Amino acid sequence: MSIAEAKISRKQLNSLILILGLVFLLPVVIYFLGRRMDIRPKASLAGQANFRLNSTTTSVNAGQQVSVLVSLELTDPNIRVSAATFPLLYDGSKLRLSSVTPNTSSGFTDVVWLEQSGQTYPAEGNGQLKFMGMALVNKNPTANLSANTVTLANVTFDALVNGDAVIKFPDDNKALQVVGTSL
Amino acid sequence: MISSLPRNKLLALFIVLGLLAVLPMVIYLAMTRQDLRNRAAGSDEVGIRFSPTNIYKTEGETFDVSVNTYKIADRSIKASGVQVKLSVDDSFSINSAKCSEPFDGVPFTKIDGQSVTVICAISPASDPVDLTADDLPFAQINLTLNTPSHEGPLEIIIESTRVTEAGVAGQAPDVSTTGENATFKLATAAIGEAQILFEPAESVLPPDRDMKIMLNAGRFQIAFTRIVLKFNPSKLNLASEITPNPALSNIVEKTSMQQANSSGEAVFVVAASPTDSLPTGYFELASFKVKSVSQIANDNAAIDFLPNTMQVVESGSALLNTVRSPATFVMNTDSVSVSPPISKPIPPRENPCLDMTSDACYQQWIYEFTTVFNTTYADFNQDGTVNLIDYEIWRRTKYP
Repeated sequence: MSIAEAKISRKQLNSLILILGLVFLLPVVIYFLGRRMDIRPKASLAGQANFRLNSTTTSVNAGQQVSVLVSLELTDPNIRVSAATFPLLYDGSKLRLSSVTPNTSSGFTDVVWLEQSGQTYPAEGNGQLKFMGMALVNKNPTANLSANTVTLANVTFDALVNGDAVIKFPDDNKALQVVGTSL
Repeated sequence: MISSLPRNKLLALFIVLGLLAVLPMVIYLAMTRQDLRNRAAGSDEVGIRFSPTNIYKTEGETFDVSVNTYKIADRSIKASGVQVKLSVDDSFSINSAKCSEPFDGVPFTKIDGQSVTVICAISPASDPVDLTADDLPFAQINLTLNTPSHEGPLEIIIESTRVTEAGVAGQAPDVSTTGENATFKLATAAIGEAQILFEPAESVLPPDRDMKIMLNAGRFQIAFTRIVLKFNPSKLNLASEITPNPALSNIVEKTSMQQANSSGEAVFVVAASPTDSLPTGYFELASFKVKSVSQIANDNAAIDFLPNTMQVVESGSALLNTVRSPATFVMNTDSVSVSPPISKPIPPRENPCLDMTSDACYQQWIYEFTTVFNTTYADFNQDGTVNLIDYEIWRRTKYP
């Protein structure tokens, strides 16, 4: 009896279709699982970005203003940044937050405010440090993301009294975060 | 047969036929002219219009329509009476018509089928009414939209108008325009919900602040919105005209900045044109600028929505209920000014990240990242925290 002549019952036919369906479905499932897993490691850029603070002057008198430029330096030229967040801490007894100008003119598209009213930073400084915080987001395809050194914001403080004052990022760098992708 | 007639009889026949052909045309033109004379009312210095208009109504709904007068001319005009004859669409049942204060001193109303005549005058003992650019209701009509009602625009048409100016010796001049008709559209009952809010929700004034009216329509595609804003004009003013989002490109009605700052109320009505791609999810409806006019230190003010005549209609002509949230302002304070401030919107009732590529999902990420909402719809990597990694996952899904 040849194969063509063999009679297959309806039950056997259903089983065959089910098995074939599972065989075809398996690679699809693996493909989608693979895609999802692929996202996570790419979102981490550990050790490849530095947050920087720059100021044209570090010596001002009471009543004057001091501005600091917050920027992000990417050490790998193939890395593109899509979002960055940071808190900026300052000595609340000597400085008062005057204005914050986020960089949305080049590189980033949106600003997400985390703190703007000069609250005390809870994790450091024993209540002496206040902070402002923001995230900058680039809502664009990878090809339009920024590389190298990217300006984040210009922050201006009023000097309230004479003496030494601190403007700094937190000691615990978990509060600083950068995400993006490599080409 | 005609060619066999004598020349003079043929000529007479042509004249008679010509007269017969011209006669209906003459009658039609004569009637048209009569109608125009009715509508061409007075000196075009005082307008008549309805409120609300450009609004959707559902079958069986009973509602009031105010008939208002307002001054267009720069000169001072005092009115002693207003009259109007209206033709109401046959989809409406006319329940009642009455004159409103102060024009209810000598009232006359008549309902004849779908025709309404109101003649409303002040009491002979009263002073004439000084008209302004703001709407002054002189009559109110109560209507019910029949079941079933016909599709398409449902109109109240002004047939004739008269606004009688007082104080002109020996005369009673008519200063009215022909008036503006009212238009209503048929909608089905509410099938869902849309959130409407301001961004930013809290601000410090001055400086002047850019405001956005945002709509979270969820899965619905929006075809029409009628938004009414209310504020205290002695504390807060619009510092610009309202600019609706061009996504709904047909601007049906829009209060000017001057009118809004006079009355403390602003209406804008926008509808989709046939070529528009209907907006959905979380999107900007309109923008404008506000300024403080208060001189009081640390004063407070708000802009809120006036829900009674507000409407959001989706693509299938069904209404959406609105969940509203006002904007509040602290004025003349020495607080730090940063821009833009954090918004405090209303949490959504459905997960907007079911469609991860949507702008509503991005907005949800912002609210959860900033802990404005305590939900975790945007925790895409499910590590228990909504952070920048979740944003990057959203971005890569949006821009694969």
